[in-house]
Amino acid sequence: MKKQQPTSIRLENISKIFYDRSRNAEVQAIRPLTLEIKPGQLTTFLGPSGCGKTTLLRLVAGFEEPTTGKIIIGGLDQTNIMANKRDIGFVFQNYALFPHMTIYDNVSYGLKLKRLSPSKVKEAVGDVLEIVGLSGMEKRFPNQISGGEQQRVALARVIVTRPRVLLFDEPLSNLDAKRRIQVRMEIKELQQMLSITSLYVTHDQEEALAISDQIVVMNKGTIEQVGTPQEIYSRPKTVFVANFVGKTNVWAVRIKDNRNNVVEPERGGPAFRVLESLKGFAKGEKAFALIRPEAVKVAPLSSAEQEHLRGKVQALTYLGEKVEYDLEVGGEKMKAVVYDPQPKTVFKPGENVAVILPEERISIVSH
Amino acid sequence: MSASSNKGGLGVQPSTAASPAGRRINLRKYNPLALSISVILWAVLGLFILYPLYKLLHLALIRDGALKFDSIARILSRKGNRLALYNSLKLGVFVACLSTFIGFIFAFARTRANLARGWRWFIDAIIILPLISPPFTLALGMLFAFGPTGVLTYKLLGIQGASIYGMWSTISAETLTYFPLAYMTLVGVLENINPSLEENAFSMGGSRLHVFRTISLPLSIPGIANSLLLVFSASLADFATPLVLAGHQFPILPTQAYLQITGLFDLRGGAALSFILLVPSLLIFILQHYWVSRKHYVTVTGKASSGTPTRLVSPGARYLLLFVCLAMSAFVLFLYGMIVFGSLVKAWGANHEFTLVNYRYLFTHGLKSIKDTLFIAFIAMPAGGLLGLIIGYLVTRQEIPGKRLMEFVSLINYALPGTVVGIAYLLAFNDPPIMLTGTATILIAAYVFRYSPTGLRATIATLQQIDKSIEEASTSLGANMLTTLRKITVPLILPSLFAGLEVTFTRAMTAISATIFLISVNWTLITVRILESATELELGNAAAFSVFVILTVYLVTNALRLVLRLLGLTTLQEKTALY
Ligand SMILES: Nc1ncnc2c1ncn2[C@@H]1O[C@H](COP(=O)(O)OP(=O)(O)OP(=O)(O)O)[C@@H](O)[C@H]1O
Ligand SMILES: [Mg+2]
Repeated sequence: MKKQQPTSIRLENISKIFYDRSRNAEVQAIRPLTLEIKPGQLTTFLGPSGCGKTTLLRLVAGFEEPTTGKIIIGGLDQTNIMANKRDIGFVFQNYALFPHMTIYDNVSYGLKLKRLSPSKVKEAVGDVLEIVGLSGMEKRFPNQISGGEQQRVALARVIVTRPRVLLFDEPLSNLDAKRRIQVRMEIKELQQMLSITSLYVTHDQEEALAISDQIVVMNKGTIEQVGTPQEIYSRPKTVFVANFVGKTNVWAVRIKDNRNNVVEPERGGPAFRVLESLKGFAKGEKAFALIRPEAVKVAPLSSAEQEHLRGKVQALTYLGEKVEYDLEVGGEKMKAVVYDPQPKTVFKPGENVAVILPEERISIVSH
Repeated sequence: MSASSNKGGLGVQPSTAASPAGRRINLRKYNPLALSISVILWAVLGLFILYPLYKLLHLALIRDGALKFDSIARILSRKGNRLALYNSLKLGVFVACLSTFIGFIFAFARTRANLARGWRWFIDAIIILPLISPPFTLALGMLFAFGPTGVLTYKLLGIQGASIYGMWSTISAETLTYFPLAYMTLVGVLENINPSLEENAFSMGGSRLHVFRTISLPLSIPGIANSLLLVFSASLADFATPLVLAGHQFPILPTQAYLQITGLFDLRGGAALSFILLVPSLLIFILQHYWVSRKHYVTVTGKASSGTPTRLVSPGARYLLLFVCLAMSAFVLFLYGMIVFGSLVKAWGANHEFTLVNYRYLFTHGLKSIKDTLFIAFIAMPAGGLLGLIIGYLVTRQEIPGKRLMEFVSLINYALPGTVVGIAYLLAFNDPPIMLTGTATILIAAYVFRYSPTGLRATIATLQQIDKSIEEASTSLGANMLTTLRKITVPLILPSLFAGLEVTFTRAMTAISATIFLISVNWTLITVRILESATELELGNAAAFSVFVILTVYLVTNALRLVLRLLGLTTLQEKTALY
């Protein structure tokens, strides 16, 4: 299969309101949002249950109509184009294979609709089954193959038609953990090989970090942050993103000096400097300081040369490759993770320690 | 890539979501085609379900434009009717308990006793017989065996003029007729009890009886309750068996209502009796519809558990179960054998010389009823099947106003005893504006609206199991709505359509309680001829007619299954197909 010219997607001021008959109320599944997706990229939508990920995907696919806004695919307004004319492949969470058709008939379904000659259909199906490693299973029915194989059939069924866009709605959630890691890499490889613009829904942060070019973190129908996996992890823009993607320490601060980047904890304690520019904040404004547990350094009080805070170990979990500490620092709880701990340097509960917060690792986000 | 949660910015007009959106949703919510079909359906349902019911209630309850219960009171003031009410309830309770008990034994043996394949096949074949025969076939068989000239009573025991008529023979015949219904309900439930529960209890040292008492039985309680309700209302509504077997000493409501109308020409009295019959049936139906069956569906759709424990049943108990089931099956088979035998001899009880005279009668004097019945059944079959399919599709897959109500209304005629439906039709279509008495239409309509609900329920159950995403997958692969319907939806629900066809045809060939009020000189039915022959003790003819009906139904239903298999589709499981 050869590459095709990848397609861009633009969602313009899209929103979706459902009408919930049982409660006789409106549900705002998507609040107005605008989003641009570069051609050939794999973008994941990451967020908790009910935040509108599936809805957004279904809007792009054309299964739902947006309440407001436009969907532009490949530069053309597709808002009023029916789902069957959009040339989009959708991989469903439950695979949605046609239970009364063989694997061959499932995979050739879209091609036959395009009125390809039987020999071409046969060739294309053979090729794609080879790619997903299912050659020889043509005559079986969906209930005669394993979950992982069904997943591949679902994938083969859409890529064989060479859609402009691939949409995945939690495609791995029915697989066991080991298969999931394997299949997600296969999806990523396939997507890159065909360079098809892809949207991928998941609520598994690790999955999102592993396969995405871009991550869109969603919450309650809005976008919290868009960025590469590294940006999302290392520079979360909101407390929600920081908590949803990985673990984080959060404490309330007030901006003391917005020119020299100094903040002071709300509950007292020494003020400290951060590397991040605070120009966007007003003096005295409330904010949150964030730091990842693995960025927090813990050292013996005696040997600490750097600027440090005094902390006390409250509890610890020893996990071999790492130790997780629950610390108390200036009246705030804080978590720290130390990798590759040496037996001598593991602190004990009740021990006083020096807690070092590298200024370049602290993010300040607005309230 | 850029993004913003558009808090008013970006220069894009923050369109006021509520009002224009609301209008757009409302317009799109109702597909015009679906909407127009539902309007037509409402008209049809109104005419053939609500209007007759209204006429019946009106006659029973309204006098001079006011609600009065004097018709009911008048009917109940007669001792015979009070007795009939009491008898009906008593009969229902007995039959429900006995059928459920026997059904449970069969279901338990089927799912737990690890029977050999041959035995299972044999039991299933026997179970299916009462479901495809006219409702009074077993009553006829009883007459042949135990009647005044019965094989057992007269020939074997030499009892002269044995009286078979009365409560106990009615109870026996109905129990034999309805225990398959109990069995079907319970097999599903027992199959779905996770065997590891029983295994666990067993390995924790519980005795077999203890495991049965503390695990198997309590978990089947919902199924048992469901079965009791189903059989109770079936027995309450049964008209044919009592007409053959109950005699004068044991009046029950449906026969009483029949006599009130055909004997006394007292329509108001008949309506009042129907009302008394209608109330418990409808209550049970509502209970079923909103409580038991909802829960039931969930378990039925769940994966059937594989490998049921064999240790639960001790070898002794296994043989006992097998013996009981085989004895019962043999008895049912014996009664059917009696009928075949009876259709082939000159004079039952007197002259057992082989003859085909009864069949000659069938195709001469009986020919009109055969033609009429086949005509009606072959029209009712597609009509009933399609009606069930269309309503089922509309209420599960389309947004139309009042779809829950439509589903409920569609089921009413199925829930009501046939006698009630028959009397209601008689009242509704005897006079202008809509005169249908004496036509085939009224008979067909009676069958279609009374028996399409099976297909309807099968369609709904199937569609609920077919995730919407399967159709969406087809759409996004490029198929338009018609293609999706043709290639995906239709093949997937065809088995439920065929279930509907099967049941409508079977019932149109066998049912009698509603249509006995609606036959005429122009149109008559085989079942009515059987009943006439039976009550006039021309048992040979009755037997030949019955054999004909059973064979026809057997052939047609199997032909339908064959067609389905040729289309490459599997039939619905028997248990969902029939109820
Ligand atoms: N057809 C519908 N009618 C009414 N409300 C709906 C409908 N579809 C979705 N919703 C509501 O819209 C919101 C977003 O739903 P959506 O399915 O997009 O969530 P999601 O992010 O995919 O969640 P999950 O991770 O659980 O799949 C939810 O509150 C949901 O209840
Ligand atoms: Mg979802």
